[in-house]
Amino acid sequence: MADNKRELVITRVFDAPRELVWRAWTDPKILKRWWGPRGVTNPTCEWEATPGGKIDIVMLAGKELGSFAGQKWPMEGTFREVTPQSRLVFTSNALDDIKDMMIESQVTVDFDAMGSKTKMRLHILVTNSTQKAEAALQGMEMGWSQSIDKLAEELAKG
Amino acid sequence: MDVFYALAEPSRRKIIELLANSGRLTATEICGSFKITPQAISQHLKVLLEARVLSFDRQAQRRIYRINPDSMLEVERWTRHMESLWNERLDALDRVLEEEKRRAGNKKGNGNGRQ
Repeated sequence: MADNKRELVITRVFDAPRELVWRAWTDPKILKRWWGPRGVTNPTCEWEATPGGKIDIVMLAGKELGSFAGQKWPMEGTFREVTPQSRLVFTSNALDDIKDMMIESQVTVDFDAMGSKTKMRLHILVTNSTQKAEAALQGMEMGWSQSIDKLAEELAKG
Repeated sequence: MDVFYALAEPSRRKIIELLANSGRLTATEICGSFKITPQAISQHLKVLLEARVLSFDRQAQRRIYRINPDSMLEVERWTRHMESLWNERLDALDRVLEEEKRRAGNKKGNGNGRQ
């Protein structure tokens, strides 16, 4: 991958207290309701938010996604740091059907209370990727690019 | 060869756009989307290869062109892709937080009080 580091930082302010945002990120019952893009459900959602805890999520594409319907996109990982209401660090390996590693990243989420709101900073750093990931990313991109473009337009407006 | 020089020409930008959308294409497939001559396309591909914006794999006699995975362009493409994915996910989180807030509000309203 040469010297070009693949990383991404997203900052958001949620109109909810930090305690609730933290719960939404650490309680698998709440997490499974928002994890994964539109049209995707999470039939498997193991999310053990303690240091060393395991992540095992399988996203399932629904009818809305047309030709992708029925496809499964698994993701595995391990929690590296869990500082209550303050910071989550976990590794994430997005896997293909036969569980070969594709793209490996480290995700850091920081939470800051701002009165009754919460500022969240998400940092994703790709630590390793294989050729397979390139193909998968391209496939995902083709499938989702339309709705993603629409979303991007909406976000640009607001 | 400078990346900015390579990107300055509109046809070359269109070639990159095609490859960004399609992943991998042969020169013939790229030519199909243009009105200019195959010679001109071949010249543009050469410039893009020298600037390391594109790379190619060989398949029999043919070259299959793609955006060079090590180029800044590819990194930017990945970043935009991941950003959209996460923004969609965080929009969903926003909705879930609203639901949870309402749920907590109802509990209070029913006289269950705080924990």
